[in-house]
Order: sequence, then C-alpha cells, then structure tokens
Amino acid sequence: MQERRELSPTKINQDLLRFAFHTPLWFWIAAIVLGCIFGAGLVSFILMLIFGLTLLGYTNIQLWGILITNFVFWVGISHAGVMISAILRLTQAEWRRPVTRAAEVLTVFALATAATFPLIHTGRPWRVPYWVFPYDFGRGIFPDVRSALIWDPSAIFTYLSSSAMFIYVALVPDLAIARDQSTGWRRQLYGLLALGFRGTARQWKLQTIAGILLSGLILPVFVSVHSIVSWDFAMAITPGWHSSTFPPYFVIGAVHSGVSAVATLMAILRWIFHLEDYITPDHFDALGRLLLVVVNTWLFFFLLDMVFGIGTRDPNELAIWELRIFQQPFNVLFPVFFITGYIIPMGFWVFKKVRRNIKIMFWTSLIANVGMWLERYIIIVPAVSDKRPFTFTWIPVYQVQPIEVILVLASFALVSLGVLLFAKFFPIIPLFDIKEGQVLKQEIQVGRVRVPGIIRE
Amino acid sequence: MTETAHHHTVHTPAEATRDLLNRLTVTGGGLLAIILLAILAVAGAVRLILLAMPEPEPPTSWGYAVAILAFLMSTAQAAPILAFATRLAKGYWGIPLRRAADLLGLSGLVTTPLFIIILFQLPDFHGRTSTWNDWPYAPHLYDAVAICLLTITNLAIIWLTSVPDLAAARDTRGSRLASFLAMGWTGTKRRWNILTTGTILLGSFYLMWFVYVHMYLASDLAMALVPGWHSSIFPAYHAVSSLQAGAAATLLTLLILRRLAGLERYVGVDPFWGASKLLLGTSLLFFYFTWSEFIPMWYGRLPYEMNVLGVLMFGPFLPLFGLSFVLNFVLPFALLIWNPIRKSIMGPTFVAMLILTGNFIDRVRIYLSSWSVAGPVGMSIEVWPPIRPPALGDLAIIVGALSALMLLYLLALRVVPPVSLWEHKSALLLTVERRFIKTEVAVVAKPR
Amino acid sequence: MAEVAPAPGTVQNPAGEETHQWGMVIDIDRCTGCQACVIACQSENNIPINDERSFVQHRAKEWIRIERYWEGTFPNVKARFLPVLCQHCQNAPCEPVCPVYAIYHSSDGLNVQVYNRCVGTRYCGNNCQWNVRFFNFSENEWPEPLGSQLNPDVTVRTKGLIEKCTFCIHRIQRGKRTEKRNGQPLRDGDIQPACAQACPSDAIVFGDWKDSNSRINRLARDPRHYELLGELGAEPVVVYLKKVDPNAVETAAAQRH
Repeated sequence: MQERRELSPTKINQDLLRFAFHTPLWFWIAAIVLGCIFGAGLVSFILMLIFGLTLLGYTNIQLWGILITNFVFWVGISHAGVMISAILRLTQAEWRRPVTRAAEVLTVFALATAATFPLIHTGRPWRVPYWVFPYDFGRGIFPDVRSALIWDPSAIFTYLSSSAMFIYVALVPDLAIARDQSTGWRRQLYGLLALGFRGTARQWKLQTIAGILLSGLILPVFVSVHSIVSWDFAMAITPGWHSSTFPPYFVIGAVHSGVSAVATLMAILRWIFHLEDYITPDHFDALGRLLLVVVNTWLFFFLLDMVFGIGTRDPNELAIWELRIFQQPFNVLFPVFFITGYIIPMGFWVFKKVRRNIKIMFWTSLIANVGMWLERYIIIVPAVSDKRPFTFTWIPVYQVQPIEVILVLASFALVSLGVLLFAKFFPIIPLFDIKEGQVLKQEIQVGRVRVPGIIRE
Repeated sequence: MTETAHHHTVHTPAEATRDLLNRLTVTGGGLLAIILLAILAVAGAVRLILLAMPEPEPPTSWGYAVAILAFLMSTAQAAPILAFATRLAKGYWGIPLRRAADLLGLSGLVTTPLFIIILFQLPDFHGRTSTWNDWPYAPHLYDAVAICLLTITNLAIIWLTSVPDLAAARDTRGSRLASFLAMGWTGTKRRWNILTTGTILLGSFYLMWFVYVHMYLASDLAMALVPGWHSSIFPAYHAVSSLQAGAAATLLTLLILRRLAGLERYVGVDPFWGASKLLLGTSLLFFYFTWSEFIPMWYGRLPYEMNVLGVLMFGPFLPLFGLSFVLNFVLPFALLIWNPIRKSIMGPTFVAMLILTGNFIDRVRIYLSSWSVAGPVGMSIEVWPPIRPPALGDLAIIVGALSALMLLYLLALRVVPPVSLWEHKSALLLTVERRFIKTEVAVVAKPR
Repeated sequence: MAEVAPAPGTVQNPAGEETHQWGMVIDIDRCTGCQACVIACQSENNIPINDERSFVQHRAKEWIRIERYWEGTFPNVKARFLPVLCQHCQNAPCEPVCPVYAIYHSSDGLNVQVYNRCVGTRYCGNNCQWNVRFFNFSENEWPEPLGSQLNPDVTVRTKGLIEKCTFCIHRIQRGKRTEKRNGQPLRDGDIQPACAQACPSDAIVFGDWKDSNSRINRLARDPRHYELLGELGAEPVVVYLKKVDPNAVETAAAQRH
C-alpha cells in the first residue's frame, strides 16, 4: 500500500532537521503577517474589555453566538491529534508515520486557542480564572460543579496536558538527534529537552511503553472532551439544544473537522518544507479513506439528531428545525453547510484518483472545515433565537459584528503561528517513526509475485 | 500480533481442505440434537401463534417476545458485522471467526417472521412520537420491508462467502447440494475479484442497513410506545450495544465450535485476542451511550423525562438496569483491561458470556417496560408498571427462538465447514516467518 | 400550585427563622396592557433607559414586560396582554448552570442574582425559558439630570453581568427590618413590589404563599389558575389567572360546526 523509496537514516536526519537549523526569508514574513493578525485580535479583546460586549452581535436572547461557535470549532479541530496518533498507533496502521506529530501539534495549539474563547466572551473575564479555579481562596465558595461550564475547563486542560505530554514523549528521540547534530545555543536547548536520551535498549523500551500507555489513556479523554463541550448545550432545556445525541454527534463532527484539518496541514507542510519523499499521495489516499468512513458516520449522527428531533413532534422542537432549514438567514446557511460539509467531501473523496491528488485534497478538506464551522453555528444560534413562543422575541437575525470576524481570524492566525513556531524549532515529521517504518518493511514471494509486507509487531 | 496459522501448526492448504471437508457429515448425537431443537422451535412457534390469534392480547403480554426478538437481532444478526470489519481492515487475526460470525446471520430467518408478527401487535401509531409522520401503513410496511431486506442480505453474505468452500466440497466429495449452491464456481482471477469486491460491498451495505433497522427497532418498538421519551441517542445506543453483543456472540460460538468440532489447529488465540479489544472498546461505548442518554434527562428535570427515567432505569426495573450495567460494562471493563485475560481463549469468551447475559437482560428491561406502558398517545407517563416475571408461554417463545437459531446453524454446518477454508488458505500463503535481527518474526503481506 | 419554601432548621434556612414564600398572582383578565408596571419597575430598580436603538438591537431591558397577543381578524381584532417577569422558580433551570454560584435560592423562596459574583457567562440567560434575564452589554448611563432619579436603595449594575426581576427585594428587606424594629408582624399587603403598587387595575397581587389568609392564596383558588410553561416542572411561584372570554360559548359552538 505504500510507495517505498529507500530512505537512509542520514538522509532522513538531513531533510527533516533542515528547517530547524536554517531560517528562510518566508518564515519571517509569515511570522510577521500572522503576528499582526493575532495582534489585531488582541486589540479587539482590549476594546471589549473597555467598552463591554456591546461591540459584539449578541442580543437579549441570543446570548451565545460567533465566539462560542469558534470555541466549539477549535475544540473539534483538536481531535485530529488523538485520532491520528493514538488510534492509528494502537491499530498499527503504517501510514500514520509522517502525520502523527503534525496532528498532535495542531491539537495542542487548537486546544489552547479554543480555551481562550470562553474566557474572552464573558462579561468580566478578569474574574473568571480566579473563581473557576478549584480553590476557595478564603471565600468558602468553590466553583459550582453542577454547571457544565465547570466540566469544560477540566476536560480541556486534561486533554491539553496529556496531548502536550504525548508530543514530548514522542519528541525525545528526535531531540537527541538534533542535539547531536547542533552546536551552540541550539545544542544547549535540545540537550536540556532531550533528557539525556542516548538510544540504549532500555531507554527505547521505556519510550515505547510510555507512548503506548499515553495512546491508550488519551482515548477516553478524546471522547470525553467534546462530549463535555456538547453538554454545555445538551444540559440546557432549551429546545434544539436538549438532545441526547449531542455527545457522539459532536465527537464525530470533531473527528471530521480534525482529520480534514490534518489533511490541509499535511498539504501545506509538504509544500513549504519540500517533503515530497515523506508525505506521499499514499498518505492522502489513506486519510481520504478514513475521512470517508468518518463523514458517513457523521451523516448518521446528523440525521439521527434531525430525524429524531423532528420525530418528537414537539412544536417547540419543530419550530427550531424549521428555523434552521427554512428561515432567514439559515435558508442559505443550511444548504451551504450541508454541501460543503458533506456533499463536496463525499463526492470527491470516493474517487481514488481524487484522493491521490494533493491539490484537490487540500481544497476539499478546507471546504469541509468551512462546512463544519457553519454546522456549529447552525446548532447553536437558532435554538436561542426562538426558545418558546413568546411574542417579543421576534426571532432576531444575528448581526455579525466586525470585531467578531477579527477575533475568528485571529484564532486562525494564532494556531498557524503556533504550528509554524513549533516547526521552526522541532522537526514536524517524527524522525524515529520514519526510520522504524523503513526497518519494518519486508517483501514476500508468493507464487511468481513479490508482494510488499510488513513485520507484525 | 502474530498471524494465526503459524503458531498452531504448519499445515498445507491441501491438508486443511481434506480435514475440514471430511467432517461435514454429522451422525449420532448430532442428529438427536437436531430433532430436539426442532421440537423446541416448533413449540415456541405454536405459542407465538396462539398469542397472536383469536383476540389481540394486551401489549404487556408481548414484552418478552419483543425482548427475544431484539436480543436475537442484537446478538446473532450483529455478528456478520464483525466478520465484515476484519475483511475491510484486512486483519488476518479475524479469519477463523468469519464463517462462525456470518452463519449467525441465519438468525434473520427467525427474526423476520417474529418482527412482522410483532409489528401487527403495535397499538395505533397515529400521533405517536415517531419519524413516520403518520404516513400510510406506517410503520408496518416500512419496517417489514427493512427487516426482510436485512435477512436477504444476511443470506446473500452467507452464500457469497461460502461459494469457494462449496466448490471445494463439490470437487472433493461430489455433493449435489454443494454443486447446486456453488453455481459453477471456478477459481479464475475474474471470479475471485468479483467475490472479494462483492463481499466488501455486501458487508458495507449490511452494516449500514443493520444500523438503520436497529434505529427503527428501537424507535418503533420501544420509543414510540413510551410517552415523553424524546431521546435522539437511543437508536444509536441500541446499535452500539448490538455491535458489542454481536462480537460476544461470535466469540462464544467460536469457542463452542472449537471444542465440539475440534478446530484447535485452525482457531488459536489470535481471533479471541483481536476481538477482545473490540469487546473492551464497545463495552466502554456502552457506558458512554448509556450515560449520554441518562444525563440530559436527569439534569433537565423536566417532569415527563423524569418519568421516562423512572420507568426505564430507576423505578421498578432498577434491578434489571443495574444487572445490565454491571454485566455489560463494569465486569467486562474490569476484566478486559488486563493483558493476560485479553490474550487467552477463555478470558474473552467468559466476558462474552457476561455480555450476552447482560444484553438479554437489557433488552428485557427496554421492551418489557415499554410494552407494559404502551397505551394511548400522551405527553407523560401516568403510572410506572411493575416487572412481570416471565410466564411459561414467554419461556416457550424465548427457548423456541434460540432453538430455531441453533437448528439452522447445525443444518448449515452440514453443508459448509465451520472455518472459512478459502480465507484460511489465503492467509497461509501470505505469511511467512523470518529471522529478524536476533529473533523470529511473522511477516504479513499487504498486497495493494 | 407553588410549593412551600424550606422549613426552619433545614440547610437552606439554618437559622430557623420563620420564613416566607413570596409569590404573585397575575390576573390576565384585569390587565389592560397600560405598561404602568414596566415604568414603575424601571424607575424603582435603576434600569437603564431603553431607547429605540436598544430595541432595534434586541437588547432592551424590561424586568417585567407585557407580551401582546392579537386575536381575530380585522375589524374584530382583540389583544390579550400577558405580563411576564421572573417566575422565581422553585426548581429553576437557571440555577444549576452558573459556574460561579452567582444564583442561589433564598430561604424566602426568591431566586437571587448576586451581582458581584456574576462573571457574565450568560448560561443562565440561555437556560431561562421565560427570557427574563438581561445582560448588561455596556455601562449604563443616565445623562444629567436623570441621574438624580436613581433609587438609592438599589444598586446600579456595571457592564458584564446579568440582572433580572428581584420581586423588589429591597422593599421586602425593608419590610422585614421594620417588622423586627417595631415588633409587629407583617400583614398581607404591607410589602408591595413596584409593579404591584403601580398597577391601576390591581392585576398584579403580591403576597406570601405561606400565609394562609393572604390575598394571593384566596385568588389562586380560582379555577382559572395556571402556571406559565408549567409543563417544564420548574415550579414557578407566580400564578396566572386566565382571561375570561365573554364570547367563549359562541366561539366554541362556531368551532364545532
């Protein structure tokens, strides 16, 4: 299933560490541009602190809007890491090797960015860390654990810390190689981080066991994080939010978002770092096939939510679904979301030729994420626009404000900046993983044919 | 994970063919078993018909019949999905269990008539919380078509995956039945391609259709009957717990076949080891889906949802819920997290037996409670019904259904071998053992 | 019917004092839709002035609002008015969702919003099904000399937090302080929130459910009583009395044909 080219360990070291040691011009340009966009986001936040949330598009009943949609979106993207690295490692899929670290890094930065959004959208953010922290600071009041908004930070920080640990454990052997090949301040830095890894049998064994343990332990975290985020909505009795299928629905939507984002990221990395030897059309083919399964499972849960929501025949639920599909502005947004989130990806990814075409994979995975962003918006905002049949709600159309757009763009800039900076200092493709894959390749003679094979671990 | 055949014996494909095909004839004790099972099956069928005919019985009397229908659909009819999953992922460890799993699809011949009879016992569907929106002949027409299509797919899968073995039986033993069923199979490249593509396509369709049918089993035969039960996850919960029970049923059947049919050389620890991970995963998913069903209802404190929780989980049916939770999640999880238990034959099978018991109790909990509450359309449940212990007639139906399945299984084993011979032979061809650095490893071919 | 407040000696009332269970009866038949209650509430509780812009932005704050339902077709159009305010639910959906305990249920049966604890996550506003919780999107301003009209008994809320009807808790507290000072027990009607006091047709009646002789207990025995969104199981302490339709008999007869 894989195209095999003989890659010597020296060549691998050279290719993958090149960026850590040399800084091309485009890196500075990209960093500055992204930094400026992120700066605009910071300025917007400061404006919000000064003037209040009046700068955003909220109304008296639409009390959550674009910022929470963005929060859910980034938590969704963060599910890429575990899906690719943990699950594929546990099922011993060979094609995961170049992809794991990039996916994990995307996870960490996406999560960190996501975590800022519930903070900045509150009325008084300067008090939030103080009171949500699980310690009473002499006031005798702990945070209210009945609230789903307290389950959220616990889940997110657990996932963030375990993902960070996961990256670090996998990074240690590569840091050792970087240490051995560098001089000066780089050698100091990598030496410190490599924890004295020398490549002895015992160290390799410990490193492998740590990786497998973390893979196993992070799986329940992966399922629980987005389930807990979904319970922010499902615990409310608001019609349209009070749906028991939200946890698996959100999780599978997150996997869809995340794996599409990994496909986008891999295409970008291949292009800017010239990694044609390492990221091949085979990988996109495999990602595409995984995405096909995920996209259809997503469709199942989406239809489950819709069909069984409408099937309750509760007039309030029906009103929300009617709003989501037929009323302005959702009569445009809903078809756009379904086409970009399901029909285009599904339509393109069924074909093997398309899956192996990296340009098309890049664009379709990007489009899929546009659809998934809209999906979260369509879940969140209509339900709070028309809670119960009171007259003075008037089902207002949410007016998106410029600051909200800036904040969303700034979140993209922050994640990109984070991944870029990480790739600058550390190899974004795991060296030892690739070398291990080369070593495990074998061939078998079956009749008159030589068939590629792999050593079963 | 090492490949199956090499750790148990080094035998050639020809030896395997001779060995398995010689054992297709069953005499003596086997014949007695077939007669006994046939009697029990007929007794169950008679009781079922008596329940359905002259006057309609109240829905409560049907609770156990629906429970055994759901149990068979959740366990035996879910088993072919495990076989399909191993085919799709090209997992060699799963080869010994594929035939055992596919043959469990014969349960479709039992569940289809049972489902259709039960459909006609449903109270009036107009205005109920259901997805059919009062369309004409809903749900009877659509659900009947769905279950028939599911069973037809089951039979197609069984036939398609057996064709090369039937051809082998035709060639070595001259059996006329095998010759008829093999439909002139010759092992040309084109036919092999059609076979492999066909099994994958049929398997994918089966997985999707199975989940679809379970959605309607859960929603039309349970959710629609309980006022105020507005749960979108329950159909998915039903499908996922069925995947768990399907794997469990496959493992139990595989162990029984291994003992009774002497398949030690073909069935090692690998299928049990591989399936144990699926059992662990699906047991965790059982907990996840049960919790996702419970928490929004309990947290929201809406009166009609508190009533649903009372009837289904925490009221009179609490013992059944507790037992099902322990047997489907707590014990499997506690046992399967240990490597030695997973990597054995008895370990996963013992857990499989726990899960099958738990699944049966869970289906009784769901369907007995919902059929006891079934009445006119309303907003909220008025009275929480008590548990009705099974009467003799209920036991006759339960035992009859299970006997019918076993009967069909035994009859099928007279025509095809209990292990998928052609897949086993292909695995023999595609694995070798090699020296690697200082040890011997198994190398598995991954042809494109 | 509303249930009684926690008894003395329980967790919510450890001091063991005699408690009240404040509530209201609102008679829809008497409501003329004059909005005197809305204005009285606004001036009593330092609610900011709602100009046209705040209504267009759907951010106008009305702790009590008059819902208006039109019936019939022109020229036989009728309006039905429904004053909606915080129901002070015994089983409030807004209470468990606040992450910082800014909402609690007092021993008097009131749903109390603690302004200085609120961080403005607005989950309570999303979960309240009566839409009676309002968020301060910006600093509230009263151009001079309107600042002089502010009620000194009530705080002015800063931006970033949620506010709602309090049953004029400052008046309740004043009443209880007077009771303690004078030693004379409170009589029914001594404490009146601004809306009840201002209503010209006496549609809003405030009282103590635990006082068996209170006017609200008598009014609530009317067969017209119902609770707004009662099917949600939130147990509101506000009871509504349905509007009497003088043409009900004819309408029903017409509908049968």
